[in-house]
This record gives sequence, C-alpha cells and structure tokens, in this order.
Amino acid sequence: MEYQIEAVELSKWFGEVVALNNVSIQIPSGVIGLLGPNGAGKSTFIKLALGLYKPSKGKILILGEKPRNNPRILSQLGYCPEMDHFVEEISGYEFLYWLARYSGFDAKEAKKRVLSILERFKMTNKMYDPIATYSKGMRQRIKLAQAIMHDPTVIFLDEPMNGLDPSAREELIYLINTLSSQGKTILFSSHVLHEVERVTDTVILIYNGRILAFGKVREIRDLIQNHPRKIVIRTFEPKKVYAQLSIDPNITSVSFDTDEITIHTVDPGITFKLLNDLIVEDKISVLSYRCADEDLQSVFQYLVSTHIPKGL
Amino acid sequence: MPVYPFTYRPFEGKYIRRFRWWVVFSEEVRLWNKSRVFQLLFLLGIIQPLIRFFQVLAYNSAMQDPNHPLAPLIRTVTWLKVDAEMYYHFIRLQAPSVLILLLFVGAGAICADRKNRLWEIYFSKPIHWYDYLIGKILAVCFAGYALTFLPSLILMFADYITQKNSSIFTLVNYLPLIWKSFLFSSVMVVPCALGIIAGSSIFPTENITVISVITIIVANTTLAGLLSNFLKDANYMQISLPVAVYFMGQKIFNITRNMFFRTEDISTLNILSYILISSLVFLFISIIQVRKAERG
Repeated sequence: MEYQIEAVELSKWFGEVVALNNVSIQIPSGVIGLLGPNGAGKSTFIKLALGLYKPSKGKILILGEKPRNNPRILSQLGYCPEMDHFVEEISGYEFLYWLARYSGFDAKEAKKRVLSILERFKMTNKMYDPIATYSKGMRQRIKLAQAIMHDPTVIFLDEPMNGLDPSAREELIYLINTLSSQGKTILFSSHVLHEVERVTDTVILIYNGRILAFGKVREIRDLIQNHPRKIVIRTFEPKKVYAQLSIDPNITSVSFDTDEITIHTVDPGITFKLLNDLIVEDKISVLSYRCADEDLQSVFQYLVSTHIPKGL
Repeated sequence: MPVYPFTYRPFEGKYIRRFRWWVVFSEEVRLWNKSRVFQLLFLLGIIQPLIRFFQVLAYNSAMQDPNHPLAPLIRTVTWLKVDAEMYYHFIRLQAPSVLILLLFVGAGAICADRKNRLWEIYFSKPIHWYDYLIGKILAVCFAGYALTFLPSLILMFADYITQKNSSIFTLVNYLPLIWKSFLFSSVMVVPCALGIIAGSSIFPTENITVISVITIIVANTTLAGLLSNFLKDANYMQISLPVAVYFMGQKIFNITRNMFFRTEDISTLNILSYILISSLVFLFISIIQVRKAERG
C-alpha cells in the first residue's frame, strides 16, 4: 500500500467553527511532522484519522480503509493524546492493563505486554502507585506506552514532547527513530518547530484548518518564491561589505550591527555566489556568513504570513 | 525515559474481537470492587440476606423437629415463614440498599470517563460505542443483582439443603421461585441501573448525578402521593416508579393482598409498560449521549 493516510476533501466543523477545511492529502509511511500553531487543526486531523470524529464532509482512509467504527483498522493505530486522559485513582499498571485488554489482548498477553513496556520505560518501581501521584513526565510515559504497546502500524503522537524534560525528549526522539526503523508510520504533531525538525525532515504545515504545505523542508522552502531570505554576515567592515554587495539587485534590505550585516535577498543563490566571489577575490573580509532563516520556524512563518489575510 | 530497540514485538496470538463489552464490564467491576466505600455499602447490603439466611435455617429446623423449642413460636409468627412471599419481601426490602449501591457504582460510570476525557482513549481502541455502553450497564446491573437475585439463590440453596427430604429432583421445585426472583430483581435493578447510567451520561459529576437521581425519585413519588391525596384516588400512586416496581413484584409473586392501591382494577400491563417505557427512555438517553461522545 502506497499511502498510509489519505484524506479526500476532508472537512470538519463544530457548529460555526471550521476546524478542518477541505483537506486533501496522501501521506506515505515514515515519520511525518504535523506542524501548526494552536488551533490550526492538528488535533482535529488526528482525531478524524483515528475515527474519533466523524467527518463533516469528505473522507479519510487509514491503511486504505475508513477508521471509524472499524476495529480492524483501530487495532493497528496507536494514539498518544495531547491532554491527560487517566483514571487518576488506579495505578499505571492497571490503566495500561485495561487499555491492552481494550486493544483486544487476552488477560495473559495484556499482562505480559504491560510489564514489558513498563520495564522498558523504567516505570516498574512506580507501576502500582496511583496515577494521581505521577509527575508530568511519568504521565507522558504512560500515555506513550499505551499508544505503542499493542504494536500498531500507524502511530499518532499529539504534542508528545509536552512536559518532558530534556533527557526524556532525547529518549522520545530515540523511540520515534526506533519505531520508524521498524517500519511504523508516525504522525507527530507539534507547534514547537525545532522539535519536529529533530525527528523528521518531512512535514505538513497546517494553519486555520488548511494544509499550507507538505513535503521536505527544503521543498517547502522552494515554495517561497518571492519572500526575501535573510543572510547574516559577520565582518569587521560591514559598510564595505554592503558597498560591494549593493550591485546585487536581489538584495531588498540591509541592516547593520557593530560586526554584523544582515541582508534580505529574493534570490539567495545569486547573493551567495556574489558573496563567495567577493571573498575569493579578496575584495571583502568576512569572518562568517549564514542563512538565518533556514530552520522550520521561518519557513512556517513565511508560509503563514502569505496565507493570513492582511489586516488580521 | 530509556527505550530499547526491540521493545515492540508483534502479537502472534488471537485478538479478541467479540464480546468486547466484557472488558468494559470487568474493568468497571474491578474498579469499584477495590473501593472501601463499595465494600462497606456491600456489607450493609448483605445484612438482610444474612438475617434471612438464619431465618431459613431456623424455620426449617423448627418445622422439621416438632420438639424444637422455637417450633411453637415459628408456627405462630407468619412473617417468619419461608415461602415465595418471603422472597418477595426480601427483594423488596433490599431496594434501598440496591439504590444506594447502584448510585455509588453507576453515578460515575460515564461522567467520570467524560470528566477524565477517557472516551478519546477508549474509542481510539478497537471498541464500539455499544460495547462500552453494554459493559457499563451490565456492570451496574450486576451490582444490583448481587444484592437481590444472587442472595435469593443462596437462600434457596440454603432452604434446599436444610430440607429433610431434599433430593436432586426436588431442586426442580425451586425453578419457578428462581424465575420469579430473577424477574422481580430485574424489574427493580434494570430501570434503576438504566436511570443512573442515563443520569451519569447527562450530568457532569458523580455528585450531581446522585443528587439528581434522588431528586427525581423523590419528586416522582411525591407527585404520585399528592395526586392520590388531592384526587382521593390511591391508584395515582402507580405514577411512582418505586411503587410500580413493588406492585410488579407482587404480581410476579402472585401476592393477592393489595399493598399499594385502592382497588384491584389496576392494569398490570399498564404498570409494566410504564416501567418498560421509563427504562427505554433512560437507555435512549444514554445511547444518545454516548453516540454523541463517540461521534466527536
């Protein structure tokens, strides 16, 4: 099967609020980042994919089938929700045990899997404590454990980094990479862009219920044809550098600092070539230079800014 | 959060695809089974069965031994007699315990899941909304039967083994009584459980559910009492659901003595329909609420 997730003109509205608007997308296997600010429609998309919501219009297929009320598909999906969803008074072990039973395992297998996953997540010593006593990080581990303990094919992680300390984040990144190497499809939502960038270079940008872009970060960057890009040049003679670079008509603006010059260009290829030539010809002295907006944050900001109507 | 590469092995066994409600049922029963409040309420609920148990033992030994010191007393006190009417009174008197226990186990059955946003997790698993609802309803009903029908069976068994001439064939004699006890228990437990589950699916917290259910029962019975007083017709008491349930119990156990109504012209079919329609309304409310949650 080529596509793991396929949405066709998918829309979901709650009363007058349109959460997802006519989304058509085909998502192959691998780790995919679902990026967007709060309220963009990330969670709605995930819940539609899990069959938790009924589409208002269009359809969504997971592994080629509609997920809603489809136990065959649902047993192949894992879901780590954004918010806490616990029975606070029971232990982590018990909570996972029942969810394993809900996934269709018999009592013996459920017990085996829960003990195994709790051991792997280093939760064994706290597994009989009530969930109410767990820290945020431990709760997050329980949520992750229930999402993957039944060996799903497609895993939806809704803001899984929330509340994790740096080492736990590293472990989660390792976990995602491990699952990915086992052939799992992981849809990983976040509004913190550098988190996603560390896990995958394939992203879906979502905003206001619409897909802004889908592809490799670099491919998405290529979509930004007319937006000036920022280059920061460290030099002791910024004015001289600017004087030499001013012949490039692609440069749209310049700002100076004591040992730095920041330029905006609509064609970084030409500007970089000119910069290289000037350095090679020894016409300017440059300590270093870099593209300041190569990260996803700026890509996202550019794309969003082009889609937000002026005045909003 | 240490994670190792080979954590997630594929399952080679067989997934349980049918009777998923059994998991919901088991989870629910295990959850409240651990609660001390539940244990206390259950203990209070089995006080009457214990007393009845001794009544059965005393009655049978006294009746079978004419020289027993208690024999004259037991022969003269009619309410000590072990017969079908005793089982009727036993189940009827269990009603307050059943209501309290069912309120405890059922009031949070659905609203606690909603409050804890557990629906999202549950319905992301291969489970249908009806598995969920059936599991919840059966768990609450089970608690009710545990205080009515199951003790009745134990009492019947105690009666059977303390009979002098008991044999495997005399067991058959208990079948009508078992059936009657089951019917009366069901008439009492099922509407009560469905009403509480419906309340739990509508109201936001356990406390509000408990208060609302009690208020509705009191209001329903008060209205029936007021109508029968003002209109000088005791038959209006049939509007009260608890009275209707007791009345059905009388009919099931063929107790001809009218305990609640002025005349015998009360239609059993009407009262049965009233109980059935009330139960269906409660069930319908629960279905709508759970479907709404499941649809998102």
